[in-house]
Amino acid sequence: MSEVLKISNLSFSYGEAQVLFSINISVGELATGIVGRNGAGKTTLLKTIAGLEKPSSGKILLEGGDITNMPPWDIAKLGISYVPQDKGVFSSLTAYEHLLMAANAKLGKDQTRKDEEIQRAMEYFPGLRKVKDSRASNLSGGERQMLNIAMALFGSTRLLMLDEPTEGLAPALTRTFGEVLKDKEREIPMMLVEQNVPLLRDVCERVYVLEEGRIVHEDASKDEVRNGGFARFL
Amino acid sequence: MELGYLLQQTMFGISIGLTFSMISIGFSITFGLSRIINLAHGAFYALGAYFIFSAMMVFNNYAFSLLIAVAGVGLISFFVERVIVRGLYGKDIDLSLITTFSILLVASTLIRVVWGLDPKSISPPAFLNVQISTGSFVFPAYYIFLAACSAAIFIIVWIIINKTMLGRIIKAGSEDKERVETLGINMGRVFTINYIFGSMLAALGGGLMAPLMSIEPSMGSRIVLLCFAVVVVGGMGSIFGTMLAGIIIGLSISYVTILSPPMAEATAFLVMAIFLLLRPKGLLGTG
Amino acid sequence: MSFAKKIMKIDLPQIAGVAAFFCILPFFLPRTLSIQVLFYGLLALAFDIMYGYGHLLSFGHALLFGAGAYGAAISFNFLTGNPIASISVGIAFAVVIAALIGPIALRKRDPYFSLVLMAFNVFFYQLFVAPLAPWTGSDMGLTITKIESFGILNFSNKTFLYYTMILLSIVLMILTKLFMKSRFGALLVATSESERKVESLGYSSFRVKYYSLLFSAFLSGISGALFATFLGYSGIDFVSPTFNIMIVFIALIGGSGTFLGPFIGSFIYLALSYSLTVVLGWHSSVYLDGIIGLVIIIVMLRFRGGLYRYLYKVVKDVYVSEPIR
Repeated sequence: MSEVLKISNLSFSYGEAQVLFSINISVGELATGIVGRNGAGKTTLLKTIAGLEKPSSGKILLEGGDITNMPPWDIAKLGISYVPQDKGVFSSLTAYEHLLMAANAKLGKDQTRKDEEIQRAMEYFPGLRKVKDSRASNLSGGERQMLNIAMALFGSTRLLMLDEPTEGLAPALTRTFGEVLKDKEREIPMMLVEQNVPLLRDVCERVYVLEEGRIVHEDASKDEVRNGGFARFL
Repeated sequence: MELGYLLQQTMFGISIGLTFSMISIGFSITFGLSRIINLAHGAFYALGAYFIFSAMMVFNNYAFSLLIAVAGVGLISFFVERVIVRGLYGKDIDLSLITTFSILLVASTLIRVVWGLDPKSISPPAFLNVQISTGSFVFPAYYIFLAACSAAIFIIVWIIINKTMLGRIIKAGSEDKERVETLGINMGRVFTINYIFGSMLAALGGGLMAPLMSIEPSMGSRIVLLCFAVVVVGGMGSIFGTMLAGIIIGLSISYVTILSPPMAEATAFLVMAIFLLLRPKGLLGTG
Repeated sequence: MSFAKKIMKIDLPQIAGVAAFFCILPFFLPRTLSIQVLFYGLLALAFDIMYGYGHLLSFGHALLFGAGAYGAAISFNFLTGNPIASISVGIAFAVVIAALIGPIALRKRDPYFSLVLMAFNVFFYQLFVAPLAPWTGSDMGLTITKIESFGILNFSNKTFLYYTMILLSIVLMILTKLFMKSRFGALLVATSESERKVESLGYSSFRVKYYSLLFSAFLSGISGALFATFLGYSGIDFVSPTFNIMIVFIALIGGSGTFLGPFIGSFIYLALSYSLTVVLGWHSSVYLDGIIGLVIIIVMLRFRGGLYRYLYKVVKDVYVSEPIR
């Protein structure tokens, strides 16, 4: 099993308050879960990987290449797609414009490829085709999530980072989402921050527990994950 | 008071109003996108007017001088952005207020040193320096030219914002810059492009307005407050709002000029104050 | 709180030290310049109440200072030679202006606060230059033509007057310290961090900011009035919009959020301006603006917002030691 992302001794401080303490994480080709209570530092961890925050020390390696101090847009162009916790969509743009923007950012000038991938996104998420000309502010939570995942999958995604993707979604949608993840997990390595234990047990090959900025537990194989050892910490 | 004069002032108000709108676009977008108050915007306006004055002394061709003025200011704004303004993004807004105010101050000092304290003036190009008469109503052709130019620029900006990828990025970035960055877009570059473009529009406004008023060192700080008034009255995030606000302010200034010329500009602040009290979001504000 | 505790709270020794400094200063600098350092210092202190404590950047304190100066000068020339009355008119002018502008300016925080104040500053500046010129002397300024002496305010002896002004300043400094160290001062700092918290404690954050602004206007106005009274003159530069950035400069360079800072800054600014005049002659004022601007840009960029963090920490130390009862 090769390593997609390797995080070594990563520390991060916000002003004088230290948030992450020498984190060591290894993300494989399937799905890796990150769990922990609120305020443990999960979102900060993802943001630091995505390049939105600068770590105070440590290294982040993507398939061997050092991405530690790169700006967020270069990291995105390398194939790390980050879907934040607040399900950020832009209220002044239509769903279709979101797709255009994401495709343009990841695929540059190749117009044919861009059109193809947008079409493919709308086929995979038929719900999106229906609302493509609606302003994002008018979309439901589930539709926004579909839009975010679609945007994240343009180009060759080498790592998909999802921050509490099922939060606030209706149970039916959560189930659908779980199915989407299982479907994609074979193609795309994932980092999943979640509170939903059944989902994690189903999908992840590895789970780390983060508490107050430190890794306190690791379930390192699919069996360990299925046993749900990590759940004790929630 | 005769109707002719009133109509003329109305035309004047609309023309300068549209120009104020055009000048304010850069200021407004920079505020909404880069989240800084760029008081240096006034400096670019003033430099636009002074550059066109000097260029006219050398070339005596209005169009060419205007081009030089706008290009010159564009270049200067590039350096200002790279060296100074860049350090202001993402920081406390007070930092940008104080620093850009200081840029404005340095600019007006340079202007005083290079061009002196006495006001300068230029005349409009000969073919525009005429009066047009329709029936008993006479007005300068330059007002039409001014209005037409500003309106045209306005339409171009509207198209850019609403129909191009850059516009989409600006709209999205004004809402959530980090999210746009994680999609793979270099917002630093977008900020720079926006700053330069906005500054060039300010210079263009300065150059277009130059034949109508006296060019003097304090014009930079005066225009930037008008830009702020336009933003308050029109609201953030709406191009159309900016245009309406500019026209309203332009008309208030031109009507008050009939009664008391020195206080005319100050009227804009009264309009701004009224809006802050009664409608803080502005006419069509979204932010 | 017992009297002794109150004395300790306002740190009288510190005020005494400042007063002593100004007593000695005329032996090194011209008397007019010395009094200018004093009153610009008080003005910057007034400014810093809003900025260092409330995190509200005012670009309108020149207006308040100028209102005090012009109010007093106009009162002397057109109403009465009585200094108490005229200085009061100056103070009233400043406070009333602040009272009227306050509700508009405090609608939103920076940058609206700053720019609204700047707009009104420009408004009144234009007013003083043009329509009100017969009363204000336009850009030539207004010379005070008659002042009657009143008790200790003896205008025939400038030295005596100087020390009288220092005495009055001590009173002002005590008042300011009382304000800064009071519950009100702590509330003002609190509104800069979280208005919601202040409201949940039962206070109106608008009222806190508004009354602070009025006090700041009082302090600015009386400084302006006293300065104009001492000089016998009120100049248009007092009300000039660019004077605001000088006030900011003074407050920042000396150390915003502290008591001594504004006085240190005032000394530095005026020493700089004075030496420039000595070196470059009377036209140096043109260059002074630009030089100050450059210095500010460099200082701001070097600290890169860390200046605010630094200031904030200082203020926090000051306010945290005075818990809200």
